[in-house]
Amino acid sequence: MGPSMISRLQAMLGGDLAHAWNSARRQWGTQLATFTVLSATFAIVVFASVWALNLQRLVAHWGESVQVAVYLHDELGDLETAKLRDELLKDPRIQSVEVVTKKMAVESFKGQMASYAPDLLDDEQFATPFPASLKLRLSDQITAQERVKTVEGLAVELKKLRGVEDVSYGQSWIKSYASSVDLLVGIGVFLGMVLLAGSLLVIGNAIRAGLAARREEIEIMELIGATLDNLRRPYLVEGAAISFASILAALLLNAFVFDALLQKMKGQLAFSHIAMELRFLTTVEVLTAVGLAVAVGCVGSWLAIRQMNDGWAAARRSGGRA
Amino acid sequence: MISFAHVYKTYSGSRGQEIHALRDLNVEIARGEFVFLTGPSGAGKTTFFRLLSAYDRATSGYATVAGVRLNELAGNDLAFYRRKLGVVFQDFRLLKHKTVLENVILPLVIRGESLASQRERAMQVLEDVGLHHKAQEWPEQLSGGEQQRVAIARALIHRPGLIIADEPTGNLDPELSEEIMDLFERANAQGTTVVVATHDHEMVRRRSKRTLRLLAGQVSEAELAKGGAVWDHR
Repeated sequence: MGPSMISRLQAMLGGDLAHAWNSARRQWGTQLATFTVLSATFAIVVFASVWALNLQRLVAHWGESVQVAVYLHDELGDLETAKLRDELLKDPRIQSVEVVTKKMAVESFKGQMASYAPDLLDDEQFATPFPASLKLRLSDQITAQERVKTVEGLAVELKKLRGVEDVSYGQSWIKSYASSVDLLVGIGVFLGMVLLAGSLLVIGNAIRAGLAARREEIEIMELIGATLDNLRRPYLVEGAAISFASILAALLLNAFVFDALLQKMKGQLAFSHIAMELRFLTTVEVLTAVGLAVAVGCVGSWLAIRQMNDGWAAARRSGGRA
Repeated sequence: MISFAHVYKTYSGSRGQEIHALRDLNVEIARGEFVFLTGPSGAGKTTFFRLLSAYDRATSGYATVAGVRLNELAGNDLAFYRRKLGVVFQDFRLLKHKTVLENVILPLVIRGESLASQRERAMQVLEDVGLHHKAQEWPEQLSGGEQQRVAIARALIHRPGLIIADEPTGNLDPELSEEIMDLFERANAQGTTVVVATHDHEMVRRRSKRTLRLLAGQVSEAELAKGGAVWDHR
């Protein structure tokens, strides 16, 4: 790209940004209203996205600690147990299998209960041998997000195996939690789409108002040789600029709110370490949000400026007779 | 340069009847000519200019400018054709929220010329029209004559091959009108074809230029008999 081309681009972009700034000054009422509505809309979408991502992150985090215990029938012998273990190890989803015999299970239980209720160990009922089991560890290749779903699928398959009495994956409540999160994310995505569609209309109306106010200017520009691109581009830049300003405001607002909520959670939910897992958007996520908002701005503008065609302004003039 | 052959421009009246703004118009204007276009209101001068600036299309007939068939222009070709014109209006048509300088550079802005080039050329042309010292003022701060000079500077900045001016002195006093005509003559002296519509018969007489008289959408028969170039002494 030569210096002349750069210089032309500078002139073009500078002119378009100046157009956007002039619009903001000349129609500050409309522009302020548009900015406010868009900022509020984007703020809601960003807020929902931040918390949806964090809820999903919590599901993934809790999913990482899920353990699968496969309880075996009493009549299953050592040989068959070893065979079952070898079979399971062939499954790519499973990284390791630990055999817990009845004796080991009792010892483990006693060891865990000793400090809590030593008297309980003398109770005859608790001397009853526990079933032998296999403790499975999932492959590290499975992403944290996929773990809960993988465990659910694996449990169903394991239950069908011969010699398997029951399958437990401890934090089975995660399943309902994950379902709730999925439902919330689904609702959030739907509402987000509705709000973004509304944003298109808001931007489109602002640009339409600008077009009406500048009809004469557009007509003069047409007369001195402006192409459709010349005429449309400033309005696209205007839509993008107002969306850009709005998403920045929305992101800043959300960052403050998130920080305030996080501080509160750290104080009130310190025991659960939940707050340690929560975070605001990453740089990539922020850039994605900005990119999406700018795209929404451009599309909203485009919907309004589509009506421009050759002689658009002239066509609206009722005169023209000699 | 400009060739209109059997051009009709017809509008529909409120009761559906046909109204001919131009009727079998035949006009030839050579490159580098300075031509006055006269005629009463409603004679078709503005329609003629609308066709010349490709702002409207002839209903029938052929209208060409520098070999370009105006009826066939569309899309970007239309815009690129208009870039070869300089258009001046009676009511100046300046953008009031832009400074004098910003108004003048508009034709260069849409061409994507560099900022330095835009400014340099604008100051030069503003100097030509005697307004370089008012570059940063707003149009509303200028007198009528100054505003028209700004409009002419805007029409000249891209060195057009053809300038069309529709009643450019209609709102100005005689002294200012002469100044404006001097500017057109200077542009013409540099090779630009100039077509000026005017009601000012006295000025037309003083300038001794070729004059076309439009009447009811036609160049009048008696004047055509003199070879298309007519003098209007009314």
